[in-house]
Amino acid sequence: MLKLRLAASAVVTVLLLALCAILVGPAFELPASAPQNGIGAGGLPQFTVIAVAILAPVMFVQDLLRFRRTAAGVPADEGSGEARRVVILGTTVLVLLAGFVFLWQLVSFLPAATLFTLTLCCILMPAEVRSVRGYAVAAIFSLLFCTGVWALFVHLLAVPLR
Amino acid sequence: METLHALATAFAHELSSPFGLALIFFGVIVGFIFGATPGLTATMGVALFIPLTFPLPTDLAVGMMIALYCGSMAGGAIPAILINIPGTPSAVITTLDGYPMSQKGQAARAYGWALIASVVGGFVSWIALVTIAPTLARLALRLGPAEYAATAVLGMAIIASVIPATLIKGLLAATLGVGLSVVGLDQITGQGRWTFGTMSLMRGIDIMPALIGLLVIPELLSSIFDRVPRAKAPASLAGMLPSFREWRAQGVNNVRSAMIGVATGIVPALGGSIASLIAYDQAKRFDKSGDAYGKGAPGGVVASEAANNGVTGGALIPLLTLGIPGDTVTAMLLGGLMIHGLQPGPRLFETSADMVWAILAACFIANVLIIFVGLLGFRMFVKVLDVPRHLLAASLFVLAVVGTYSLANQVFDVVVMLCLGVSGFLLTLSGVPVYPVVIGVILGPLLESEGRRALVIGGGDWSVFFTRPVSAVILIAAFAAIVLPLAIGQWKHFARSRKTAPIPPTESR
Repeated sequence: MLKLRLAASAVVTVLLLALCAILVGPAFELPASAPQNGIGAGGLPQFTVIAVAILAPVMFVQDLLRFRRTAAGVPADEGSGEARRVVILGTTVLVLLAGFVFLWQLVSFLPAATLFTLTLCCILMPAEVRSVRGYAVAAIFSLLFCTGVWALFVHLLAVPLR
Repeated sequence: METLHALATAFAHELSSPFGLALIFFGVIVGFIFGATPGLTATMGVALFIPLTFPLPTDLAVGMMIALYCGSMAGGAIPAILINIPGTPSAVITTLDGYPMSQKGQAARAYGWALIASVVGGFVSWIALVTIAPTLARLALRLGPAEYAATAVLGMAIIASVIPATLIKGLLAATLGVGLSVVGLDQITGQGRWTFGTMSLMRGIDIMPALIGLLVIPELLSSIFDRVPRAKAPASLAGMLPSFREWRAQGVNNVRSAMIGVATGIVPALGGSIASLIAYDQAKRFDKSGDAYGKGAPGGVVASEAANNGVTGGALIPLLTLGIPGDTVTAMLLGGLMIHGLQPGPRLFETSADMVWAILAACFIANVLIIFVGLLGFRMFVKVLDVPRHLLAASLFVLAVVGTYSLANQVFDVVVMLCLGVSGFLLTLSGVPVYPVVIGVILGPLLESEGRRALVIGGGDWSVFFTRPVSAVILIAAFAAIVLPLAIGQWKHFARSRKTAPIPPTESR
């Protein structure tokens, strides 16, 4: 898990610095100060970009130093299985969520949501439940649940779920 | 007298509405379910149920959300006692004595103590809420823009320094939140900031998609990583509730722990788990049979549960009076209040006094209902633990997406929620807490608008923040909130290194 945290810290730092590089131009196009020493529209954006650009690398250096200190006596592969599970499962769920929202635009809410729920149920299903019956329960549950949600939001709450 | 009159009117209004009472009852039940299910939290519960409150009048909607909050705090004790896993993070200390009691065959007894302590904790925090909040709101009304801006800085400084991460990570998270809050059109000049010419970004990042993305998605993700064992309800519930005599022996512990909860709840970001820890430590210290703590002492369960329920009222105080949420659930409640057209802050007591008193009355009624729901629904809540996790998690993700969409019927909000969900997941993995980001999003606009207003009034003179006494004191407190923990840490490190350093040999003459 120590390696996972350091790797995540590195990814976050790189992403934040990339974000700063994108946002620095628009932030400095705006005036930082207003007439009579006030704060202009660009004041807070400029402060944010500069602060993040400083704090993100400092955070990574801190994490790196802590990793060096604490990882010395820890076996290299300790917790690596759990870390892999967290990364793979987390990424899969987030990709599925993005896919669900994309599919929603293409084929409307009900089929997209049912497919998403069923897929996620199958992925998260514990090994001991994986059987024809288990998959059938997941399929029926997905269909009933999504239909229920659709009916609730469309008919009771008047939300136009396409 | 004025307070009592307002309260009496609010109670009369709440009690005369069977539908309102039914909604509070429903909120408590849903809260218990969310609290009793490990991985599901009160934050999630409030977030996912906000869309269901759209057609409701504001007072009923807010009453239901508050009831959900109170119910979830009490429900968290169930898995803590039965399977040694806290239902909510704040019930973690309950496991220390609750689970050993359960192993001794006293699960029902432990739950009875937890329930009574929760209710007493809730009442103590309610009394604090109705006495402190109106007074604080009246005081806050006297503050000017400089003081408001300073308060926003203080809120962020406290959160950045008390969260369980390094100060750098706390500050980074709060800054990211402020950054998110500036997206959109500038409030004064109308200039677009980081909008990239898109209409969707011009209206800025709404608070609810940000809250659901940053708080609910990472929590849902971490819930699927957990492996939860099966729970078994106790065969008999006989002797569940302690007698009055038994409770009297724990009365001081119960009230003291609740007051610790209230005090901890007022400080943003400390939350129920810290309150429980402090209360448990104090209970152990004052109890003559302190050695029994950790081995199944009812006092430990009482301290933990009274404190985490005491937090509910405490956390509502800064929310209702200053617009600063005391914890993640109250941050979500803030979003819910705003959706229903209420702007938490000192003016709330002036502009929507009826609504505020209705909220306070609902809070009291929810605490009364906790006793009945907790007693009658215990077996049902234990069954909730057996709901297959894969079905539950998948359905909650769908609710999070649909709930976000329904806020403004905009797919763009869902995209924002997902992007922030991914960011929240990455930040959590790297040990950066997401709560300061949320607080940055909430307090960023307050900091900017009030800061700019103060400078306009002060003729552009930045010393306005230091020459006004209250503003200066608040800013000094903010500075202290950041510097003191660092200084104390350094001092402790220095003292430890001096202790462990080898004693130099004495010089022989």
